[in-house]
Amino acid sequence: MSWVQAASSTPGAADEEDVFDEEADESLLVQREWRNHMQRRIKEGYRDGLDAGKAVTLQQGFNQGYKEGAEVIINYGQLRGTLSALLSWCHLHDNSSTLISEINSLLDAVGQCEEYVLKHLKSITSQPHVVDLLDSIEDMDLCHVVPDEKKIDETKDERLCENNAELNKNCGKSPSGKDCSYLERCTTQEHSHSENPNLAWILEQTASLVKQLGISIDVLQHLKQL
Amino acid sequence: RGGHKDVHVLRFWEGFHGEGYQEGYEDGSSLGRIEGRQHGALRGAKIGSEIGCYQGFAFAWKHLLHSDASERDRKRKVLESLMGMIEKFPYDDPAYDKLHEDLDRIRGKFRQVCPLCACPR
Repeated sequence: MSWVQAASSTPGAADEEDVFDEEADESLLVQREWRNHMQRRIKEGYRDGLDAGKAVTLQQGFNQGYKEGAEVIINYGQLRGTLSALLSWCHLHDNSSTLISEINSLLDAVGQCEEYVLKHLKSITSQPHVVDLLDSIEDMDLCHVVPDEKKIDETKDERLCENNAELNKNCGKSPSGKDCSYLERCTTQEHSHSENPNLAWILEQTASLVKQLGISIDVLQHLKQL
Repeated sequence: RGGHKDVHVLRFWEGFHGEGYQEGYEDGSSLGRIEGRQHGALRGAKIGSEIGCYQGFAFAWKHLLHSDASERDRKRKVLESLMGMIEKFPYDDPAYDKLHEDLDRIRGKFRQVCPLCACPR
């Protein structure tokens, strides 16, 4: 057995290696333990920090979004109310059922427009502001990563919340899943509400309806901003 | 337990917790703002849509009354009352302290308007 001879040719070396290996194993174990412990602490810290950071900006974000949502939709609401008024006028004056059913389809169309706008609003508010990103880039070390859209999508929630003084996270309501079949007929492009071609069409139809009813076009005056 | 050495050990591990905390805090701040904005936008739109509807209805009826001589004055008074309430209502302010109070009053006034104007919806 030549290897025995080779091993024993360096006196004492075998013994030293054995001892060294034992120590090496032990220190590897300790290193691994330390690394795990360290990573666990960092992860815990991250989670705690995440919760704390969220708590600070959630209400601020809510207030900002609230204003944006209200302002973008109010004109649609006004259009809907106007059409409802015209509808009730028709009922009062016993007008033809064709006009009444036309008003009803326009009302449905406005409803679908509103849903479309809300969907578009959701996708806008999920993008971080460019300004926020620039701040993050300035503040961070170069080895950190700015939270990207993938992370945001993972945490995105479709629950609606009641607005009391505090944000109540436990309210739930699933978003309407109505098909925008009417919209699909008219357009497949995404526009901001001010460029919404369906809205223009609805307004046109409403104006011609008003003429047919023999009502002054002034009745639509308050919708000028649309 | 307890003693000098343990405190140092605890402080040592706290350092890593703190590192993670800072990074988490930054991420949490942006995520919280984004999430809050989404919830807020949907809620604000709900209120804005409702108020806008009452407003559009009232405005339109005010003009319709010009051409309708019957019961003009009584209807107009109620409509103008509704319009006044809506005018004063800060529909885009989620922190308005009388939000629900005023919203209920507006809804009540609209229900008053309805039978006068025969609103079907």
